[in-house]
Amino acid sequence: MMSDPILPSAAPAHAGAAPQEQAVKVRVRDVTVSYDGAMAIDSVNIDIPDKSVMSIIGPSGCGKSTFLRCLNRMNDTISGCSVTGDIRIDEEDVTARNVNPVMLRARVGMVFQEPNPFPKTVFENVAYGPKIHGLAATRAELEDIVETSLRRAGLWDEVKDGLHKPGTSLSGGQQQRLVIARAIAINPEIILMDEPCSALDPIATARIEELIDELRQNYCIVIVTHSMSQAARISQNTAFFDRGKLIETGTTEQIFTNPRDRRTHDYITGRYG
Amino acid sequence: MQASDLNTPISQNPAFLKRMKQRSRADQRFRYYGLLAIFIALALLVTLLVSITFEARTAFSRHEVSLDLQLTDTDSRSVYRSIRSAVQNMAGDPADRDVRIEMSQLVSRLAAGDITETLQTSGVDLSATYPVRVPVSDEADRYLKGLATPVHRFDGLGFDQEGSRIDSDFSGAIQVIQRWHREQVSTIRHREYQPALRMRDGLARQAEAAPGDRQLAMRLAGAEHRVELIEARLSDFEARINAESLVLDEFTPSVLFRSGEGWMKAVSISGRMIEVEPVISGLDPDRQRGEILVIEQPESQRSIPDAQIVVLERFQTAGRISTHFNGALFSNADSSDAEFAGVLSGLVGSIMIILVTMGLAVPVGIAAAIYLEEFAPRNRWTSFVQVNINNLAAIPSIVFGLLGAAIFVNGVIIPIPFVDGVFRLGGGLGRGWPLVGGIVLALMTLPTIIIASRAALGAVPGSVRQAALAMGATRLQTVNHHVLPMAAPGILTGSIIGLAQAIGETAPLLLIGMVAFVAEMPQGATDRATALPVLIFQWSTRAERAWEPMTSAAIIILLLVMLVLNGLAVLMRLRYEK
Ligand SMILES: Nc1ncnc2c1ncn2[C@@H]1O[C@H](COP(=O)(O)OP(=O)(O)OP(=O)(O)O)[C@@H](O)[C@H]1O
Ligand SMILES: [Mg+2]
Repeated sequence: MMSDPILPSAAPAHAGAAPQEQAVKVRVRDVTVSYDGAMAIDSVNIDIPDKSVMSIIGPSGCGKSTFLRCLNRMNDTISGCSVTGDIRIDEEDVTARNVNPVMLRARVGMVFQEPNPFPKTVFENVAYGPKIHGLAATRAELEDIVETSLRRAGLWDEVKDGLHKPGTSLSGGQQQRLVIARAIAINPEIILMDEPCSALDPIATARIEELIDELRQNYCIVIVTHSMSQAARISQNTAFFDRGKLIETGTTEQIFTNPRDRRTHDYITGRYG
Repeated sequence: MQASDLNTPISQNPAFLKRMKQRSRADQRFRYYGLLAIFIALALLVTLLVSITFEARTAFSRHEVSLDLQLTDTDSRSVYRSIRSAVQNMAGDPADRDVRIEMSQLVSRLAAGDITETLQTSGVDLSATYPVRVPVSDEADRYLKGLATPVHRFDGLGFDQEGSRIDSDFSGAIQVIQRWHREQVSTIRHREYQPALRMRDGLARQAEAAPGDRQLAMRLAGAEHRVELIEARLSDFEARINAESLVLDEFTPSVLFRSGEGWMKAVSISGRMIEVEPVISGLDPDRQRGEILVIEQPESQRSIPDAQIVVLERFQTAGRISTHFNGALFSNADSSDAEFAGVLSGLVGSIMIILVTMGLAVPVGIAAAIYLEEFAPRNRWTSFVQVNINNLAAIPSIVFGLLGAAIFVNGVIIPIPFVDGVFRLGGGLGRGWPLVGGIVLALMTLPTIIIASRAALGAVPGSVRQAALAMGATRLQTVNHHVLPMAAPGILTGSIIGLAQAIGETAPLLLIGMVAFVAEMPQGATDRATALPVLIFQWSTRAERAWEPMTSAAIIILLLVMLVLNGLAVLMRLRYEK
């Protein structure tokens, strides 16, 4: 059964060959998260390599977003949420008390499941990060950063005439790209994306996938997706979560062609349930 | 059973259709109830505003009299003496001391103060007459506005005089007097006679039931006596309705007769004849034109005597009375004379109080709300604090006044055991200072501001905070850059509501000693002062009738201040929302 051929469409497309051995960027050991005592993810161990894309897949409610939030310690901001375990970025423990989560979050950018632009102009949305971190010395530099970020997120042509319109007045898909632009504007080392393409049409999705592919050259990207084909297209590694447990992780090719666990197999072939 | 058949499309399901009708009817009904509620609220508001404005209308104008002063000196005593003699001169320089005093009361002593000030700055030639315009006393003003008593005027054409008798057509005057008597009879019947009868009959029944009760018998006797007295008065009045001739005194309407420069007052009236005593000499020599004035309210029931009315009428015919906008109401401090009283001291006091309140309550309240909402951990301690803030908001304002008086003014006196001494905690601030008032009102307003601000902060969606935090903003940056601007309209509204409440507060201010009569403008926050609501309270307790419209006018001014405050809030809100 486990050797059942996988849907051909789910085969890795332009992600190219399996990744070369990359240094481990994020090392997750025994991470357990619970909300008000109810366990959401349980003893997760995973290594996320640098300069590559890792997909997190799994059924709804299995803890994908929760896992993502561990990596930039956004779980700290949720009352009742407790995280235990050990997370190292570049071998540095980021769960330690003395690590400044503000510093961490500047290094680890995040795109949320629901687009959440600030109720400010498009320009200010993208400029916010560079401004608070002091990345632009002059207004021209700031404008430059904003334009580049918007271009990379594939939004520039649509908003270049309306930079001073409120970000919240954009369409859902445009908002999604706006928050991506906002996240990459400060050049984070790791980018966490929680279903960034769930509200996008195929063209915009393709653009974001191109962006992710391009960002992979320099960054470590972790993306949650419900689209098997997307995971196959863009990621080099894939992790499958189910009911709070990391079931299986490996190269995308291996997970999609030759999953070791039966649940993985069922899930990616659509027989989960 | 067919109705709940799963195969029936919903639009043909009778249960659904019936329910649908009920639901839309309920919807409609609710709309009507809402409209009705709004209508009632608006109607009440409009009634309130209209009645206050109607009450206040006479306070916004005042009558002033032009006098030509014969100055002897420029100090306020001599100026006042000159004013008095100018008025007495108009009254024909009466010899009677009481009448002279009555005359001098037509113009307040305070009028001299203002004149003295201008005299001393501009200098004056003492040999020439000095024309001035001074406000008349509040009672005279009420008379000129037609508020003191109804006045009926009749022409006394072609009269004849024979000693102290004047022969003319007095039918109009007699009609007025008869009608007045009839009204008195009916008033006495309804207001006094009938209640007295009921009282007597009730007592009589009780006495019948308990024949031995001496106290009851005495009360019955008293009630019977009262009925007899009223009956006597009634028959007296009734007899006078149709009497041939009537004696006129301070318990009947007054009849004044004028001709030329001369004035006389009727002491009795019968048919075409009145018996008069002269008030001011100088009857029209050709005896052609006369004027009959019937002052309906008896002299004993009004505060303006006939002699003053005569002088006012003379000023009036001489064209010396003019109506002006009552600027004093806005530019003067409080005064014991209504014609000189103004709200400015109260307004200044209120502004100082509200500045202190704003300076304390708004920053502290907003900071507390931000801390509690954005930074404080949610635990038993913070929920305890929150519950108590809500409790504070429910404490009556007068309690804050007591607290303020105890802590800031008097100090809390704690006896030191074993040693013969006491320790005073707090205190030292003065009674009636705007500073103290402001602090007390700030304490009172604080919970309102905290609760409103917390609600506004809590209404900011969490996704905004998450977005900012995930960008690497600190918590303070998150609050300052994103949460506060979004919550600002709500915080602003809450603060303004709190401050508007504070500006209208009276009780706590009275308790911290803002009860005294303060006729000076406050010089600062640490000076005895009064405040608008306190002024309104004080004016409403003053006896003279002139204070009634003044009180309403002050209320209108207070309402305007609040309107301006709320308008500012709306403006700021609009600017923020852009
Ligand atoms: N803020 C929270 N408070 C309490 N429980 C939470 C919270 N967020 C998530 N959970 C619980 O944790 C579990 C995992 O949720 P999570 O959002 O991580 O799922 P997910 O895999 O991202 O699902 P989806 O694909 O639907 O987004 C769920 O059972 C959810 O009920
Ligand atoms: Mg999720």
